[in-house]
Amino acid sequence: MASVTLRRLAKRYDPHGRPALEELSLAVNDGEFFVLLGPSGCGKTTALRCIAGLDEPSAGEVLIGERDVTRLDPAARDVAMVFQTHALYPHLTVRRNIAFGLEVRRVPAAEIARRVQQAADRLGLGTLLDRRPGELSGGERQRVALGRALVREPQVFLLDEPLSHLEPTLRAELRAELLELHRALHTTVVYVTHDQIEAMTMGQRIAVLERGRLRQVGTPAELYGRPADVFVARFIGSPGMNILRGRGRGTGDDGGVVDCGAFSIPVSLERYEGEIYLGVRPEHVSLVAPDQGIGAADVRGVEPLGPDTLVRLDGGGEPLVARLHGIPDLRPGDRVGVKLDRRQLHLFDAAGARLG
Amino acid sequence: MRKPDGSRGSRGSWGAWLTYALALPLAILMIAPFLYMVVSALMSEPDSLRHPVPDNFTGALVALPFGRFLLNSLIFSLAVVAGQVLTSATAAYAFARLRFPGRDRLFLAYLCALMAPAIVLVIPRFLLIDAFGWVDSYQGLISTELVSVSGIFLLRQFFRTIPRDLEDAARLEGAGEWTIFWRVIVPLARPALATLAVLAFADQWRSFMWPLVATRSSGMQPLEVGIANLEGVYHVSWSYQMAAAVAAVIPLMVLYFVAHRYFIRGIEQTARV
Repeated sequence: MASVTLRRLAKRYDPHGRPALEELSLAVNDGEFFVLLGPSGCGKTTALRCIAGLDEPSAGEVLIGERDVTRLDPAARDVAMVFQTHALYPHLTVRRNIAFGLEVRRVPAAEIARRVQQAADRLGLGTLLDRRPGELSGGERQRVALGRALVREPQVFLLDEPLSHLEPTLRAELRAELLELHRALHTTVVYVTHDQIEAMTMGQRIAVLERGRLRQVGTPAELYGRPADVFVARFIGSPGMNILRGRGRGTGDDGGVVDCGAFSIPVSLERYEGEIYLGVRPEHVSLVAPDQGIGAADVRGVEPLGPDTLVRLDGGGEPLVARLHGIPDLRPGDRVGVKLDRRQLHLFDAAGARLG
Repeated sequence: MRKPDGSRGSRGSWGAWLTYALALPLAILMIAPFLYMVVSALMSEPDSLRHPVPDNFTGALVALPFGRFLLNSLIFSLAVVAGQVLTSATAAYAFARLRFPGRDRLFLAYLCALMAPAIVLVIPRFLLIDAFGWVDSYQGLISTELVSVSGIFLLRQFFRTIPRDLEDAARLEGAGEWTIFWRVIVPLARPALATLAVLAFADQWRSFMWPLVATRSSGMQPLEVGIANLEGVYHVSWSYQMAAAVAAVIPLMVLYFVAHRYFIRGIEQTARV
């Protein structure tokens, strides 16, 4: 087990193009389940490949424990990686796939057999050891890929979107298994995903990346409750936070107002004058009679999810989503009043950074 | 929208008919010389096409040191196949996967060598083996055939289809380039290697010009050159020549029937790139 530290890590594939990674500094604690989250092209896989040693950073350092591994070969870093494509050797049996790394490192045959069996037992692969990857289901392949990583007993596990190719039910099942495995082994895990639900349910801490830049690092609760900017606010949550653009005026004595389209919203705002973004989670939007609340809006769509219903609204050109309990009696075209929970409003300046 | 089965079926069958209509003349064109060869081999010379004479085969085999020619052809073809598969696979891996300065330009230079007609290279190749004193020897016959640009090209295209994650996974597990090449790439490339081996074998088995130039004695000549010598022994003995040609083509056909599954898969996979 070991911590992973990235110091001002940068990577540029094309000397004239946009950098894949810009001065990324992160500290992953020993034994932590850490998630790198972001949309495709945000640099999360690049960061993982730099930790693994498969890509050489253009600048910056990678430390595993106290050891600077920036210029070390992948094999010398004592990390194991699970790939999005599983990357199993199709010509080898499950047993040989799992044993490959140990065979290459010339571990004695008896020790290989013992460790392969141990990993197979832990992952429920006992009956599949003599099959080839082509004969396995997606979930089984993913378990074999995990087994191949486990058997090496590395200091750090690197997982690159390992569940993205699986169907949703299986994904949820494997998510739980991965967490259980982490609890049992206490090994440091760096997990890359574009799926914010996966990140929120698995990560002890999450780093959100966008276009090669770090936007925020924090626990799931911090990211959800206090997003650092508009991007994180929109990206975290399903659906993400409602962001209304308007003009803000702050008087300094806990009074202020944001005017956006049809809505005039009272807010707590220090001295401020100018463009502003107001964020509110769908569950903090409620519907009242059309002549009440901050203003009126038209219902554009109703999406019942079972326990909740998402109601898509149009408030004078501003799109807004409300999450209501149960299945309300609403239809597209209905006119309703909008009420926001004043304690749950988020304000961002014109550049998108959090205010307060 | 999907059309009723009838119209889809008739359109499908029209397409099939058109394909067959185009393919049939080509197939006849391809097989006709072969059939003519087999038929001529069975005919006596003055009454050709009337009285089949199986004795032509024994005649041809007795008139020539057929066994020696066959052995020479086998040694020549198999040695070249082994050499070409090895050199093509290693070079193709370097061109497909290793990073070194000037890699793609060097590959382009190799491809340019494909443009040069083989006949142009016969004289420099002969001068080269002559300088080594290898004329009329196996070394002379084999050495200049050991590298095949088209083989490198074929395998490079195939190697590029192998997912890079497999190599990265092996690299993380501690495998060096040689281990990755032998334990991951080569086993996965078996269909392409088999294709190259069949193509190279057929190419060398049928090779005439180079063995004609590089050998002098009948002890060194492969089948193709030896069969051509029948002309000298019996003026123009078409029946004997054809009988010998039929005998010479049999190993190729056997090889193709044994390896055709691999062969077709290999061609398909490399053509997809």
